[in-house]
Amino acid sequence: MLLATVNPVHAAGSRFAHSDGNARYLHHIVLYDIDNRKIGEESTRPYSTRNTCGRCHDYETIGHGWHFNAFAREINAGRPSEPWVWSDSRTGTQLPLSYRGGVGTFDPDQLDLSPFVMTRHFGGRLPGGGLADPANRTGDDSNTDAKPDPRWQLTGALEIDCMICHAVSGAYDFESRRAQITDENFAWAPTAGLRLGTVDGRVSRIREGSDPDDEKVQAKLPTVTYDSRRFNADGTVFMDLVRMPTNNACYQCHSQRQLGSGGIEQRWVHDQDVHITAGMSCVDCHRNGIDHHIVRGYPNESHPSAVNVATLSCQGCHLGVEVEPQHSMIGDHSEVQPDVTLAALVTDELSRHLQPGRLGSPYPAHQGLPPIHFEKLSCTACHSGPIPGREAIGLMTSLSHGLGEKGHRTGHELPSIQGPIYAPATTLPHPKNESSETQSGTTADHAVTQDTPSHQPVTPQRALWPAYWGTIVDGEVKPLPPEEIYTATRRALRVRKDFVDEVVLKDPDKPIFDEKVFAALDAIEKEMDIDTPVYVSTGQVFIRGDEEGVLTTASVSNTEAIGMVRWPIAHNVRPAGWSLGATGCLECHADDGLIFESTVVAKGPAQVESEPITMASLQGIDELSRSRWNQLFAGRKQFKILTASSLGVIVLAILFCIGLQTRRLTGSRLT
Amino acid sequence: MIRQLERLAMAAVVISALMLFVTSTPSIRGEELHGLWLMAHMGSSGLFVVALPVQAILFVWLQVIMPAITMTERSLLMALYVFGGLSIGTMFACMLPVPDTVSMRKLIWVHGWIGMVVVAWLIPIVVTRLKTRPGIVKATKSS
Repeated sequence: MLLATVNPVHAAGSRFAHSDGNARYLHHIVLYDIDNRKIGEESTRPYSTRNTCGRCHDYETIGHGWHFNAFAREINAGRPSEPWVWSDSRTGTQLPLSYRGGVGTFDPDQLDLSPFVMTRHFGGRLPGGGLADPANRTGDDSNTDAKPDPRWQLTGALEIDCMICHAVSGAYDFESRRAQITDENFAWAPTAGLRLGTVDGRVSRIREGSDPDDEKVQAKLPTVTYDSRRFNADGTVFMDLVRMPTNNACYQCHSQRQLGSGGIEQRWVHDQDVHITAGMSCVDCHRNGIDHHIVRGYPNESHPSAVNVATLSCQGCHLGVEVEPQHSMIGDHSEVQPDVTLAALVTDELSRHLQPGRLGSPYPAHQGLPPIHFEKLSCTACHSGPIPGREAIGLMTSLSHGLGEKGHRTGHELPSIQGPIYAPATTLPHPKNESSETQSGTTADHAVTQDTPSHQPVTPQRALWPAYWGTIVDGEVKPLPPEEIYTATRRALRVRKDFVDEVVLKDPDKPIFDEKVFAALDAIEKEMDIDTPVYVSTGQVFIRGDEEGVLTTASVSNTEAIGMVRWPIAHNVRPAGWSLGATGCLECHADDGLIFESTVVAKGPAQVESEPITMASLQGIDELSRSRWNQLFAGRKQFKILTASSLGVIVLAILFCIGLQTRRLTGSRLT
Repeated sequence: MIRQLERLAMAAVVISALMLFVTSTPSIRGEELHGLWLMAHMGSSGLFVVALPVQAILFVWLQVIMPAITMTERSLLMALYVFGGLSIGTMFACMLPVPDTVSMRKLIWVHGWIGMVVVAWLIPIVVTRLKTRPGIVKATKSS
């Protein structure tokens, strides 16, 4: 009743029926194809989730949920998340893209990367929907792409694939889905993923610019041969699904690996997140209603449903939530309908959610830890991410490195991501408060500038330095469309597979790097008609020198376009005994305290000698101040002894004074 | 000599208490004490933790050799030792790996208020001391 009042999508009057029970609802259903025709054993068209699942579930509402809005900019994005990194090993490119802003990321629209191109490149890591489905183009979250790419008519839409998350573990074939998307068979991906049949044909084989209405072209479109064993006697198909997705589904896009000196570290030497080890599921905390706006669980998160989701954050679950009476359960007041009185939202049951111990979480005593730490540090600073060492280590993620796909990874693949970086957290702007963009297309103006340490708590983060081919205009560097770059530099670079191996590392003295990059910049100038082409990598801007085949470096005014790009680490959470500071104050408050003293070095395709950056400098802490603090803490043990002695002396003095006073009083009475 | 040393120690107590009061300004404004303010507060606390027991020892000594110390002065100082001891004790407890966050917040709250009481209590002590200083007494008599 509460939710129905606050959020219209939960209204009792919804046109969609619901089971309202906790048991699984068996889905023996009729499949419908992308033309909304019933699918039988003899059908050849792929099944459509919009036409099949959308018959009984509110597809439009679901489509506005988290994950499906990955390419949307008109949303309150909250905390920065991993950017879409356009990596091309042949051109040494690792370009962070985002529709939501964030320091150092680039807007795909500014680089002529249409939603179609983005879907083709990143579709294997998208659950579909949003701008990956041209039918949503008229929605309020429409981006650019005023003239939708005509190729959509051949590839079809990458619809929300419900079964990616809701299929029982092991029933969905992600590898097969990814293969279909690589072949530009977007509309066929859900059918292949569920292995409902075999898909023959590739849209990618159809020449660019072909007329989608041409019958000959249409004849080349892929066809499906359905597996007759999947059909019941009544023509229905059993969709083996669960309401709450399994961890396996989340891992498809949210896996991570650490790199050591020998490459990718083996899985068995590392532990899982402590919550998973304890038997929890990802969706125990990362919950959602029918709106599919999944709770992300970061501090101060605002949820469109207006439910206070703080109880599902680290602090909310373990320590409880302190809510002032007038705030009750409401998170973001601006989202709440005016006729809802806040007092009406507090029920006994929901109030209990504010108390610590949700889901049986242990209450952390934090014995001896001064409360100021909770102002200065996020929970994750001490409890999450890789155990810090003297230097940040290499990291790989599913989104950036395609973990989960079959391959021969060494750990040196682009992009070069490092962590943990202990720096102040940043928040993305709410679209309502958005300012204008910089000329270079970066969105630095929109967010807290990372170079200026804020009052935000220190949070462990991942980081990368962008690498791309670009141009300098009015002193600002700006990337060039990465797809065109490959065509323009192909002959000059002559890279078969890997720019780093074949150009950068081939000769340690760098002449090949200089020569080839020089030639590539020449080619860009000629073929793309660019005045001042540059190559950005490892925090440097390489530009052609006066001498043939020799590069020099240039400085630019928009340094955020070449500097470190960061986003927070949330998992894996380590056990309490492995948290920072578990062994005492001196673990951090000493000259070798890793949260301040560990370093990160700019890393990218170009091998550049860079100065190590300390975490203290990222936090805006000067060396002298830290040194003084450390000196204070170095004498802490002695100070404790001094204080105890002082207390002892004071107590003795008090007792002596009382005794003396008593004796004199007694003496005076006697006399 | 002992009296002079005791006065010197009392001066150190007063100065350190004032420094502690000034450096706790952010918490008086309702903010968390951190950064340079906290560092200065911690530095000043060192002086207080040393000066107060030294003053107490000297005062006890004075009482033995100078029985003429008034009941008022003795009472004022005994109360100062109680408040000062509580102020030091609450912070000492926070330095031990014992109190949890809730307990520590309470201890800090108590520490702040007791600290205020110490500063306030020093006012009558200082006034009493100034009044009973031989120089001032003489000057008052001659006038």
